[in-house]
Amino acid sequence: MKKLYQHLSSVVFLVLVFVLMLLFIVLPKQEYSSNEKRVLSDFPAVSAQSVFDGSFGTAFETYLSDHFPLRSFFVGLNSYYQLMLGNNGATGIYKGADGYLFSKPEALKADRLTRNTGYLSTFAEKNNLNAALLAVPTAGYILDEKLPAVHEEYVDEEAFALIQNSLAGRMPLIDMRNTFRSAQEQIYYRTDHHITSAGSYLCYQAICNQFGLQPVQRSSFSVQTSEDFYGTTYSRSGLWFTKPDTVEIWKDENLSVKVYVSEDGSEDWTHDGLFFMHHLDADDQYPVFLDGNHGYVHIRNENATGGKLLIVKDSYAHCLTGFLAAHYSDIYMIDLRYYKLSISPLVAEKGIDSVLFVYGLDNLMTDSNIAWLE
Amino acid sequence: MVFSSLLFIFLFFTVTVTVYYALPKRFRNGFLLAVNLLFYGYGEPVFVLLMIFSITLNWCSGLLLQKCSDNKTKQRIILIVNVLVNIGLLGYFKYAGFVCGMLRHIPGLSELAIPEIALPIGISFYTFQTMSYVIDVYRGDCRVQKSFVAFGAYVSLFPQLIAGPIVRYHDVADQLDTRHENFAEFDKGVKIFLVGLAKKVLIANRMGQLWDVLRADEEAGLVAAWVGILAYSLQIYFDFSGYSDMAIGLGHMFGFDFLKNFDYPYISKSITEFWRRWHISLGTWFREYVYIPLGGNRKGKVRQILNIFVVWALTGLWHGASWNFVFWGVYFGILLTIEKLFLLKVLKKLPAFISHIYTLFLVVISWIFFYFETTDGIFSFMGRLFSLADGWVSQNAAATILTSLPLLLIAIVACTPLAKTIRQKLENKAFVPVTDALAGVASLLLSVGSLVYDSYNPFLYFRF
Repeated sequence: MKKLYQHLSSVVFLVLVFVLMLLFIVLPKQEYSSNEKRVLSDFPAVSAQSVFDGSFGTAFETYLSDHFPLRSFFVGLNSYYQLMLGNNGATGIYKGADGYLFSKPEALKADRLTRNTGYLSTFAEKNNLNAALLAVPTAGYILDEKLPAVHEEYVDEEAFALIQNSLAGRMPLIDMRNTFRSAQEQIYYRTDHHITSAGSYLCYQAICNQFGLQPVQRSSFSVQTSEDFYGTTYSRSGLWFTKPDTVEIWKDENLSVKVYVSEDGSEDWTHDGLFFMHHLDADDQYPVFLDGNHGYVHIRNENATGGKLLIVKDSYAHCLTGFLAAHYSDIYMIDLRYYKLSISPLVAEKGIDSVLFVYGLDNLMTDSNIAWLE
Repeated sequence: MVFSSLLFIFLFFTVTVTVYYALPKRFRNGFLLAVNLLFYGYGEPVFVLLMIFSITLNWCSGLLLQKCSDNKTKQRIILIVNVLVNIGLLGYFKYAGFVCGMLRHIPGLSELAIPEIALPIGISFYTFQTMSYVIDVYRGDCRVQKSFVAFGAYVSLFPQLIAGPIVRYHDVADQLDTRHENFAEFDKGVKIFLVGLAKKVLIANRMGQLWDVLRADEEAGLVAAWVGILAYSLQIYFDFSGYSDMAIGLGHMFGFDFLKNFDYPYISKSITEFWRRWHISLGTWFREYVYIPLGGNRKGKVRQILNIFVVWALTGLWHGASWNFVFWGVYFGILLTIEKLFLLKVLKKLPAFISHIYTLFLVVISWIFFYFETTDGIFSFMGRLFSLADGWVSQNAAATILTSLPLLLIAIVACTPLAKTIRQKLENKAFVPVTDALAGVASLLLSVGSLVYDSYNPFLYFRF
């Protein structure tokens, strides 16, 4: 006994490494990591070739770290350890005040940003569309008073100036910065980079203003909430003790729409209504709005009197598009990250007269798919 | 395979330690040889053949030397051939591209193709080890190793295979034949290993990230450049010495006693002292097998200085096949010569803090030559260190530095023997096993957390 106590370090060390090894061997392997939103690696194929060129070894190490026992415990341990050392932002996410998690700022990419906005306005001009761009500012910029004291600078100021310059006289920019700044409601999710339903409603009002529509009154919506939402900034942060967020579903009972979804415009399947409620039971609840990321989403409202609207967007549009469905008989929502066909034929074929571009500012600065817009 | 990986700690180590201690002693060298080759071959299987060739060549050379023990001329020929083949292999795999690149400057050879040869991991380390064996046998400093298995286990010994320390054969000759593995040694090994793991994963990797960020941001300002090169200096030290600690710790766990490789180099008060504390096994090797055979300091001042420069040009070149490493080596050769001629005496009279600043400044500057492979890179970084063209520090760089400041301070304190001194004062206290174990658990769990979290685990000394 005395000997064991004298050599406690090695006893504890051996117990830990052997227990974790056995757990790795014994525990069932998960196929999918919902925190990371990716399929975990399979056990690599063994062949003479893969062993001798070393690729088996590399793949096996990936397999091991993907399926390491207590993986999320260790990820969390690392995150809280970094935080304790004063390294807020080590995981790419700042822990701010009041339970807010913020993505760290992207560096200003002036060249790509102006090229992207150029592609957008050229597309609108070529197709002779009534157009506007909504660039959603970053949460860290709007809520700067909630950021940690030491943080890198958000570049929204310079980026919006660049956008305004590049769009001048070609296409209006819907700039939400002042509205968001003075808003009383929660505009951004605390645990996700997207804007909330309240934030989306403000955007909707601004869009209506731009396109000459009369927005549906706020009182027309009944609000249903889901209280245990953990979004993507939460998943990336590893700060597992952050309190959950709330998702609000704003339902207009008078609105009846059909949603057609596919990746390539073929309208593979349909759904009644804007909300895909089963996602509220999943780990990520944001896809409750129009079922998350798809190349092509068509929203049909037979009672609407307005024309046909094209929305070219990233996921920031998912919630606010629902509000616009009250005004347009057909909304075609295209995500260039997944939809790989040219869009001009669609505009002609469907008789689309307006286009709205919706992008989060970070995506607008970094997305390389917009170049394919034609 | 590197020690600071989940694969090593949780699969390779656990299986190896279990089987090793389950086997009777007479099978342990054979088992070690097998796992060494597995360890080595895991990443680059084809180079296992090179390793086996090298083991066979040098083992046979030893036997031949013994056979010709009454004929000095024959012995000398065997030694020369052996050294030429060893150096030739190292030269082919490590320096062929470098040499061809130089030859292209000769008129008529400008079209010479530069061969693309992959560098076998650890070849710089194990080539020096095998040469130490053959030279020791030739000199009669050690007995011939008759067992191929024991010799193979020595050359390929996995704890020090990839990044040293460079274990001279006569330091472990006895341990190869009879080792006294026991619990106390094992426990000592576990502690040293866990210290090394924390140095590598918790400090060196983070310092590496900090250096990468500050280096890449060319408008970060003067302070950021200095913090950047400081972070790189810390990364190199904690990376390399952490790896040496892990090697030494693993050695203890399997009954080997390797000499220490780092002795708090950053507290040195002269460059001479720094090189007595930094990568000790390499310095020892060069002194024993190059400097002293060249005559050392016994053939007059001029010859001594020449010898110093030969050794340091080679030391630089050993670190990498590129001119910046030669320059880095010669830089130290010059400093050491100046110190030998007069400066050391001056430094001894100066207040300690001036000697410390002098040494640290020159060492930190040397890492610039070590890092940047082109003169452009060196000059543009030097420009950032000594010019205010980009101001003192940009806002983003300041945020980066401030978030890393606690760890920077911890790392700086960890460069001094403070923790060791405190730990020694407590040596016989009853609670020490508990605090040691807690520190060990923290090192292991936090390192695993870091390894699980990110794949950022490149090991610096793979290049050598």
